[in-house]
Amino acid sequence: MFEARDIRVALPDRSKKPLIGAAPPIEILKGINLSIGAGATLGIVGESGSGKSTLARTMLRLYRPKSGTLTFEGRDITHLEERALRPLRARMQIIFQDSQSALNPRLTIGSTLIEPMRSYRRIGSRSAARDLAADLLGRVGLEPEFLARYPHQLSGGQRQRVGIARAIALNPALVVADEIVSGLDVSVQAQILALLRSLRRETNMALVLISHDLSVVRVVCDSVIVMQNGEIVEAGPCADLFANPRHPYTRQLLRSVPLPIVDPDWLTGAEVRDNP
Amino acid sequence: MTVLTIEGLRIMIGSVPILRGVDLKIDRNRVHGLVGESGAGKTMVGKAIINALPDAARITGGAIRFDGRDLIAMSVRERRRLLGRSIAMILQNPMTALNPVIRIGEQMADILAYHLEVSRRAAAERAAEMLAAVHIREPGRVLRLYPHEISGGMCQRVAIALAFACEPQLIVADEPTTALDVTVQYRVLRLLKEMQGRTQSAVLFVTHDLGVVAKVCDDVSVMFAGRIVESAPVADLFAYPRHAYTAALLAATPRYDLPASTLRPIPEALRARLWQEAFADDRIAGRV
Repeated sequence: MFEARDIRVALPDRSKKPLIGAAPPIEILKGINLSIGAGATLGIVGESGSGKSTLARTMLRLYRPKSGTLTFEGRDITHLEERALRPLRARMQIIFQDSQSALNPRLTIGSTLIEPMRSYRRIGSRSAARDLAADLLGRVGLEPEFLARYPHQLSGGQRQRVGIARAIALNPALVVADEIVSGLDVSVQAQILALLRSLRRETNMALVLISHDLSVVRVVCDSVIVMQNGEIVEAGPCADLFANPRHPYTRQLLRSVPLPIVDPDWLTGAEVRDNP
Repeated sequence: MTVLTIEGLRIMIGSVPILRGVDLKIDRNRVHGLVGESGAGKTMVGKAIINALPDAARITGGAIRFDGRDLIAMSVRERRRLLGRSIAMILQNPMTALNPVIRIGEQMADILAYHLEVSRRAAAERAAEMLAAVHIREPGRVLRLYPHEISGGMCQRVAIALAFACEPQLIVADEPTTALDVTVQYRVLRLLKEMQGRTQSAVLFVTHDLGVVAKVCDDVSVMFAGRIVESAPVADLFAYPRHAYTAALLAATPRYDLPASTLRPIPEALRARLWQEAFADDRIAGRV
């Protein structure tokens, strides 16, 4: 369904921008290969600066790769112009971390949900649109009353549910969720994770979950890739990779996660290597 | 030896109770975790100790005894003398703890000269010594940098160096590693524990992360709706959580070492019941 072959992405390095002229490019992704089957769930983990968000955005062609090939539903989308991409955009959606800035503060939740359907001419009458939006809210566990509310009237968890509802509105084949549970309380996080699990059972969409939190990925995803400095250092099924990490960086990452198990030796064991 | 005793602490913001009678005791050389979700009131407990409550908040009851004396009853001047010296703090965002337009060495020397009542020169030496103690490799170079020139992890090391410089009896650490990458968090936690072992300080460790509590704390109190629902040594709490909310919080924490199906959101009925208990407490408090 989706495939990336030797993807390289370079973005302007603003820290090195001269006073006059363009910032020099810096390579963020250094040859990424991955493939996602229909209905699969893939977690992408890594620390800040590992390139995981850049990879997410490149998959959806929000960035254009310097080299490599992106294939989506059998079509090469690597160099498609925006106009040619547009019909495909309905099939690939993204959910952002900051639900506050991802929702238009001046639109009601109803309008926010109806907009993509209108934009892709998927709706007939106003009442049909309203029914579809109410149905979407139901699928993410919100009452129809929320249609008339504005984003600022919602809690962080409720706003993130709206973000999910908007992403699935057009029955996409691929949804990329970028750190969507970071910053949420553990109880709200558990609800959103349960929602993602139930949605993937109901639909045949593929889900890519970007997270710095390995435990979150374990809850939702079947397989996982570990990124460091723009490269994939290890990939495999979750159950396997988390139980038997092979790459030293994966081991270091797993060892650094404080699991809720009392262990007086955790802090006194071998020092985790300092990054330069 | 008990360093901090909080008894029946009540705080209101306007007519809304924020803390509903909090009791807490921390002994010397103990790290006490205070854990809960946002809005539980855990940060307010820390802020009440370091006298940094928001303007709208009022303490309506209880006592905060430090070294035997009630901080609430103390004069502002007396209290200020304790802060930074006997009671230090480490906050979530170390950048806000440092002045962005002053070099790290200069501001450390300013702060240390004031608290330790020594010359600027002696304070500058102490600053370099502390940076070495928190394993910053080139202390001399870092002292000449501005806060924006160092990473978040390094910045938190500077904040830890400052907090421990006066060998305080009590440290309030509010989510000190929440904003850090997981490997950086590991190293900062390790450092915190090492420094605490040296000074034998009592630490109030405020966090939302039960995993961090399990790894660095000796004791833990779990908060919900401005009340402590359970307090226990960490080994007991994680082995046999007595309160239903503690058990629910544990079950709602994702773990990479367990199958996904073990994750359970916190039951709404439980939250509703706990809120009922909290409101019942308000009615009793209102009558007194």
